[in-house]
Amino acid sequence: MDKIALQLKKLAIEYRLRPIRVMVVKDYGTITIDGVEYTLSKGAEIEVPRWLADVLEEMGVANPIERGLDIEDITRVHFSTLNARTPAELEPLPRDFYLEALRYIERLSARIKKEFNASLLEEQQKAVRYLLEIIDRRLTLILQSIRSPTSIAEISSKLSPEELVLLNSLKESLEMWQKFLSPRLVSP
Amino acid sequence: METLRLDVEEVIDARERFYEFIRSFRDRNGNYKYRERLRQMITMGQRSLLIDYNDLYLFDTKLARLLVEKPDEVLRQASEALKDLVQAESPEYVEGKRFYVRIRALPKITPLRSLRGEHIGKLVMLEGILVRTTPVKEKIVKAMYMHCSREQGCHEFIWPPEGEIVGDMLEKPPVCPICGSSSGAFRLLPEKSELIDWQKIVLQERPEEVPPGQLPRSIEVVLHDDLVDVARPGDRVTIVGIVRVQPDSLSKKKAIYDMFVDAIHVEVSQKILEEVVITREDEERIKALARDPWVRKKIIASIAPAIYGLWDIKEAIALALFGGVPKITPDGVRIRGDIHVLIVGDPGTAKSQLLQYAARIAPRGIYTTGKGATAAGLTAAVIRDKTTGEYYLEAGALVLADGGVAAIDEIDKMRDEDRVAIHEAMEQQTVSIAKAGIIAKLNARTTVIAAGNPKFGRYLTNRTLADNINLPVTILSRFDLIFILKDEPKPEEDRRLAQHVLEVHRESEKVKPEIEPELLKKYISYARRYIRPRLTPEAAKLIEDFYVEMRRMSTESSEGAITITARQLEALIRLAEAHAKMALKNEVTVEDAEAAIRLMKTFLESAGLDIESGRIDIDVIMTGKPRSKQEKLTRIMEIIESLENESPEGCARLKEILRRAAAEGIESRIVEEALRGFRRDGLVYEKSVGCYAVVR
Repeated sequence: MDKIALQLKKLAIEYRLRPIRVMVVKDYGTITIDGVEYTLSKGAEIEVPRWLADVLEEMGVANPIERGLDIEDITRVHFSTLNARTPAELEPLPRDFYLEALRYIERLSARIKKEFNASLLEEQQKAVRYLLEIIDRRLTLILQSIRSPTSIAEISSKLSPEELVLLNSLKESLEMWQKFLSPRLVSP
Repeated sequence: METLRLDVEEVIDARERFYEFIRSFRDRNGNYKYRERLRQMITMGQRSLLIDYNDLYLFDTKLARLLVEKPDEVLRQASEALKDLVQAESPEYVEGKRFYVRIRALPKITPLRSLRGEHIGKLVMLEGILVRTTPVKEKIVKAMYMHCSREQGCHEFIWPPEGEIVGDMLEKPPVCPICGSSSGAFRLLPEKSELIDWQKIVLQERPEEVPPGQLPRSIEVVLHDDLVDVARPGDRVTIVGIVRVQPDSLSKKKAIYDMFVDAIHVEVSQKILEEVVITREDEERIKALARDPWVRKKIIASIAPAIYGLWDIKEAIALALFGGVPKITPDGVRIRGDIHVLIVGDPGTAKSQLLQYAARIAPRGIYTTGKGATAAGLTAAVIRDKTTGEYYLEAGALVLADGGVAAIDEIDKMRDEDRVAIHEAMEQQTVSIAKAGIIAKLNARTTVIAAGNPKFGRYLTNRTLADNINLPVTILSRFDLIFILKDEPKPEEDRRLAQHVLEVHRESEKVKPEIEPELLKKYISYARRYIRPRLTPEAAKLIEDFYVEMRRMSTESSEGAITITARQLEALIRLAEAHAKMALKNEVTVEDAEAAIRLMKTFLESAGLDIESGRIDIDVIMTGKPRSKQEKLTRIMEIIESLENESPEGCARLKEILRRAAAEGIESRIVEEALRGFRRDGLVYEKSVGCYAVVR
């Protein structure tokens, strides 16, 4: 279990370190992080790690250029995931889907706390519900495929890194379990 | 109240839910999105309400799913809900109108190739190119019948009854709903019936989606009412519709059915080259590549690396793939950005391979031959469907490659109809057609990279370009760059070529392109989509100076041959822009202008050379005759005229013409050739044997 948690944490860190593009909206001079210099001059479009982008956004120095995941993307994934009846019909998730979805929900929650807005609350509830349903259906299909090597091969290319962590761990446990309980034949 | 079963447990009242959705759906900003749209629809006098599927899904997931599963019933009820809402909003607007709920942007695109029986009766979203359209026709939705019987006399009634509409077949009512009798005569009154616009189109898979070696799949789509004529052949469209079946028109076996789509919504793609997906990682790779100072050389070297040499031609192809910047002047005149390239060459000089490679790496690239594979050929045609007898407007290669590149091999062998239409396609970038009652103007904003064989089997250096290829000069002059590939034995060059070819056969890995074709395609697509370089004053000055200098040379030469025209000036600008685009630069610098000038000079020195004077003369391409020859022809005509006036028989004797021409240094070969030409063009006639007179 610790191993799964550690791997998931690693994925989350990698996500936070991945560069994204931001538009600098306020002159802030030059900053150096880990030996990398970032010149923050108004109007410039630069690439910074995601965590730094968040900090700069909070400080009002820069805004991310790329549109993050939103309810429409979650809806699209929900539609295709719930349509999948077999592992073969499952579709790959967009990159960083789970982490992006969680981030989106967190941001919505923060906004709701600040400004109470009924439609935002409804959007947040829907996003949570859809995300749980997506997880549930994908988990069912992963569990369905775990018993056959062909299904594992079919499904693994469509899984997100987080799901692969689970699949590999389940596979290992299953193999160990089978090995332990299978009758051992004595060679003549 | 009517209800629909989604599954065993759940029952949905679609009409009520749609009513609620349109009335109460709020977007993220808290606006009543569909209430607004409804008002707008009434104000604009429209009858369709466009609904984003995603919004419906967010509002009621089950209803949205039911819409995909049972679209006929759900949409019927949705239309009724819409009518109720219009009634409440503007009662007078409802009078006798039919309202439609149109659904756009389903979350999933169904590939045309994977349409199967399981999709019948379901709502799908398809993408493809519209290749054919019929003219708009009228379809009866409510028929007016007159029933006459001996007992009851004659009376009129509407069929089918309230709530139903006529399907694909118009069936006679079994009994008269007024008198209840089935006897007597039922007569259809078309002019009193309710009719709606109807059009059939054919949607074809996009060329880039067709698996190698397979035929593109297509499907018929039926458009009704306000959907007719929203798209033209050649347009890339996204269609949301219901899959239906109709009896197979070819076989008489009644159990075989064809699929077709009954369109609910048609959206014409606005974005350029959106079919090439560029991910964030791709963008990073593209930008990293653009930072390489050798990027242009790498791109050129990546074009058909298996073909030895031909650097200038490869550079020209690369520039054509990137293209210049199209401009639209404030008065609406469109100046093309596409660079057209022609390669004329001896057999076995790898022309076709170059073209095939160009089509492969070009976004929206189509490879075809002059003869064309379809009835529509290169441009467009009106064709008649053999089975139904209907007339269709079908798009040809240049229209299908709109926004991309058409690689046309054997262009000299194209059909006569295309020969006429290609003029317009290459300069105005449209294809106009008026045949069989179909009048249309289709977009053909396509870059043409063409190749042709010399008329006499091999390129004859002692003849002009126009003499060497079976293409009218009017088409030749539309090419920005023309290259001549002569297969001449040169021992050293031949050895290098042989070594290269042997190397390719021995170790094919060694000819790996510098840039992977897939990445190059994305790079080109990115440049065409986002890069719009502007001429810097320095670059503009250089091009201007070159143009003026070339024109000055014309005035200095004794023959007064014109070396360059405004057409080449525009080509120079396009080439310079394309050169800048190749490195994803937003400015056209002196370096770009120099490259364009160098390439233009190469072209002029090979294709635009007057073989007699040895000087550059653009008239070789623009008129097919160099200025030196044109002057000789004028002089010959003058000789004929003066001899005709002097002679008592009223005509000029050949012997005398030859003598006078020789005195002015014109060879007899040219005189004989000129006379043949004059007679062919109807300028001169043979009054008596060996005696010529001018036609007046």
